[in-house]
Amino acid sequence: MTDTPRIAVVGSGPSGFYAVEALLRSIPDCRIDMIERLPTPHGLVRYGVAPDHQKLKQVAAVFDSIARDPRFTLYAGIRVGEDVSLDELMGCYHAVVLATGCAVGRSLGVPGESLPQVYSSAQFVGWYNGHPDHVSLQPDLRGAHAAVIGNGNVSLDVCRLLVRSFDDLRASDIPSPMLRSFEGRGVREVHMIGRNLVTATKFSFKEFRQLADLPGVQIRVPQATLWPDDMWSGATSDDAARVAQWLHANACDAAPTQGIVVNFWFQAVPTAFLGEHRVVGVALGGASPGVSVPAMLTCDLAVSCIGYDSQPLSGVPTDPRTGRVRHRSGQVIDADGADVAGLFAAGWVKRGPTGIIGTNRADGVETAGSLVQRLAQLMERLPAGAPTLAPLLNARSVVPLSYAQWLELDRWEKDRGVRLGKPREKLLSTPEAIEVLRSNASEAGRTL
Amino acid sequence: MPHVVTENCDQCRFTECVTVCPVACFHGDQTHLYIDPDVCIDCGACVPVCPVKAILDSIDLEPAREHWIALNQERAKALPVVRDKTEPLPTAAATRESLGL
Repeated sequence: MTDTPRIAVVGSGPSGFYAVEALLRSIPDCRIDMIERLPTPHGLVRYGVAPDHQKLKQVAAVFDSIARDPRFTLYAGIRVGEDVSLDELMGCYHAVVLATGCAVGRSLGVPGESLPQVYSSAQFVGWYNGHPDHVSLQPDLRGAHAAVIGNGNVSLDVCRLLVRSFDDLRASDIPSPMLRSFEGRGVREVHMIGRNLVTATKFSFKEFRQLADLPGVQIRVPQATLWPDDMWSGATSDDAARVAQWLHANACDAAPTQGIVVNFWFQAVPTAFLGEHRVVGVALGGASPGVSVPAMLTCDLAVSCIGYDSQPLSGVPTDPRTGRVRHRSGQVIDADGADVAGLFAAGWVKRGPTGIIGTNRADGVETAGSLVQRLAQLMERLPAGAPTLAPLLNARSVVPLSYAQWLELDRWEKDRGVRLGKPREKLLSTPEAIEVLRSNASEAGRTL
Repeated sequence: MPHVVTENCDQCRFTECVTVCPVACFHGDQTHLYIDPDVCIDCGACVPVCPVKAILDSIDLEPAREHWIALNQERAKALPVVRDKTEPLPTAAATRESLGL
């Protein structure tokens, strides 16, 4: 039996941090190392939450306070599967918690999806949030027509950013190069395309109102004139009912006026993206027989916001039906239902891309509970003198970034933001981040 | 605009809300919880999990219930943070039923 429980949490988004918080609270003498692929922590709070939702991003202060615990260490810029294998991690830690999320935008699987100007939400949202994987996307926003596919809050975010005033966007934390694309926007009309009934949207009403209340933006439901009255009853949730009520009262018979028009299409299924060199339209079919939808809607840009999938780490048991890690209350299990000793999961990789930031707190508590329950066996997993991560990385000349270094970068981004009249100006790549740290160090007479 | 806990929490105190609050902004006494508006980030995670629909975005409060905004602010500042789920009050089930929820 070795001394202190050592736990690695892979991924530094909300699910990773809430798993850490729960573990720190329930195991007084533990050490927790968080391993993050990107040079910066906070996952979807930094790269998924919309840049004009700054209040929501304040949750980062909670992560900062969790990270201040002396039992916690961040290793940012370390790719599990490349810089270090999962097997090696399992050999360094009594337990490994996967909190790697769902980074892959789900595809519709229809012809034309690979045309230029057709993107998944993971790409498009990642781009306007400055995600290092997506900064080079450079979508062309000069066209007049855009199509956004999906009836959830991500599609509302994408639509809102496409139509929101440039002054509002300038005050968000959209990075400057992306902001220039928004400055040259030509968008006059957005088609919001969903396959569900008007009473079955997955929008939260609050987010829906943020779009509907934007000045100079008109919401329309072009199909509504064809609908019988009972189309509006039988909502699937409180939020769906309120969205439907709002649309029924405000969006049904108005002709398009000046300003930007957002058309909501329901029971509409994209069957192909059309175009030769780039997308020029999306072909639609009805979600069920007898449903009337336009055969084609013109668009110069299309963004599919239909969910996310995990990219499973090799060697982790995955349910082929859901694409998610197999687990029981956060304990990863194999195909026969037996515990995979030492391996746990939290967040989206565990329960799929659902819920909001806070959902991960209850989720992290559950996973931590499963881990604590097995702590005695976990402590038997490693022989005395088992390897530790830092020397292993050092031997490979892989240099992780620490939480203290992130706080330096965070300060730098905020300072640069102040000068630009925005909350922060994000660093967009590892070399840029290293350069900031190097120049900070040399000013302080240190070497990096 | 902040979220607020309203009268339906009284005699219930289910505390489902505190398990999903990402910023631990719930404070409470023995019968009621309150949201600290300076800490709440308006994510809305607590709204759907409350079995008695006690939590509202303050923009959704009708004028007669707007006093809950000041009351949440005042009481939250005076009371300790509640982070962990506890047993609902003995009166919770009956109160929930009387609310038709």
